[in-house]
Amino acid sequence: MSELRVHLPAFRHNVATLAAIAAPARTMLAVKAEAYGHEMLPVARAALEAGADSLAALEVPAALALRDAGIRVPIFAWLHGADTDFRAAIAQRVDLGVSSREELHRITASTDEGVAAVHLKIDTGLHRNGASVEQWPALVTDALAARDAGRIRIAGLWSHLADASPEADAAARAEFERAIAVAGELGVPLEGPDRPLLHLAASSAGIREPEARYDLVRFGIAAYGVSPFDDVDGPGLGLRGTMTLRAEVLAVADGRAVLDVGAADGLPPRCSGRPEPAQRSCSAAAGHACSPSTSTP
Amino acid sequence: MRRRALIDLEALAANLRDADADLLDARADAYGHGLALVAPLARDVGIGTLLVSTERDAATAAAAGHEVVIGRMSAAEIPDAAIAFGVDGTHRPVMTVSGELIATKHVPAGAGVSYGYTFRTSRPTTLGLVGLGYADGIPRLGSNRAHLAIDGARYPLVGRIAMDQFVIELGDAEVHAGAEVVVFGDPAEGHPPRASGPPGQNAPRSP
Repeated sequence: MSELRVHLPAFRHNVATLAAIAAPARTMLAVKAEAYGHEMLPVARAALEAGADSLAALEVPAALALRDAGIRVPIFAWLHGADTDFRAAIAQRVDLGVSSREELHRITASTDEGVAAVHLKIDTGLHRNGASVEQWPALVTDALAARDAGRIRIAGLWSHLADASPEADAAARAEFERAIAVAGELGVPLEGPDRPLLHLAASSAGIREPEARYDLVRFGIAAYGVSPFDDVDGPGLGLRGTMTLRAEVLAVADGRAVLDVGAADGLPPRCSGRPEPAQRSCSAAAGHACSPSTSTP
Repeated sequence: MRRRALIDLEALAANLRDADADLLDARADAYGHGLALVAPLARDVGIGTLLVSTERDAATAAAAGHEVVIGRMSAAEIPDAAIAFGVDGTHRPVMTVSGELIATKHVPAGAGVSYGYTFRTSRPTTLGLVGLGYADGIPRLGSNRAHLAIDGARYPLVGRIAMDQFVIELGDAEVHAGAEVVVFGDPAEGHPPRASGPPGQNAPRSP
């Protein structure tokens, strides 16, 4: 048999560590993909106990599941499909990322049960979601009109970094600054109680680029104990591992053991032959059994 | 957001009849096809014994009227599950995996795509954002290598695959948000074959 154990105390330690790094910026914790495979609800509660004050859910159904579990903090969802239920999201006060006028119009058409809190996204170079520089003024203008009509609240202006290099991140940050300025010129308040949250950084920039932290950092991978950098590992950042995978030894022969764990349990077939002791696992992950080398140091 | 693994029960039944075996390797929830679907069908076509991974799967198989073997067998004893699930290159593939085109975006030449900017566009083009990623089992090794299908036409996956999204280059194609993007399926229906690129590598294979 094999067993995957999640360590919530280690996770809480990581969240507290990251929240202290980000302060005075606030900490939003990413619990997408079932909290990176750790199980969403216990992890979400642990994150809030440890210093996060909002949650990143990726998509509306996950956000609604968090609400159904009684979690009341702001929850952010930003990847929407053709069938996304914006009406339910608005009724449950889910903050919605908005990348295009089309998306904004679908949301404003769903506001009969409340005012939608929207975070307008500018694409600063990743070329995934987000309005292009050319599309940005029209998106902001439409959002201001929807705000004035009482349908939405502009709760945030945001983007996401490519982590390509410090120079690329700096260029993206400059792009973000220009987008904020454009939004301000068009009428989005950049001071006062109605000022939207500005957010750009995830784990990598949240740790290393203080100028990218703005009002909040969306921490993901680092909270789960994994370094976002190539030049330092999780422990090197003061982070603890949040999972332990154990497997029973089924047989031993010629210095090699066959373990009761394999590709069907999620071990990548290519994890074989890794030199690091902590990573050494399978030399042939297939089906349920694999044979790691137990003789390497 | 749609993410779909479609199981073709007719193809599965035809493959099982063709395999003409008394025992089916149905470990790991029938190679991810869903033992609750596969077990009754296997019984209907005359298979009497299922090999399963867990006690819970054993109960599912027994409820469908099977003799059950739990656990592992040496490779020589295991019948060819590749035939049953249509991943032997000859039989009809049983599973089709698809996601949704979330958005399209026109970009100039030289635009970096996804984390690390491992891809830059060589011409003005259109990019498509697909709502699938490694959290859905799409191996990151498919980054800058895999090809996906929309309405039978193939498009290259560009840039790094992220946890819940990746980007394809659509060029001049007239496709729109909401379109179904097929990762792998039956080549006879215009879908990419499972073995054609890295996205198929998480699919069942013969042990």
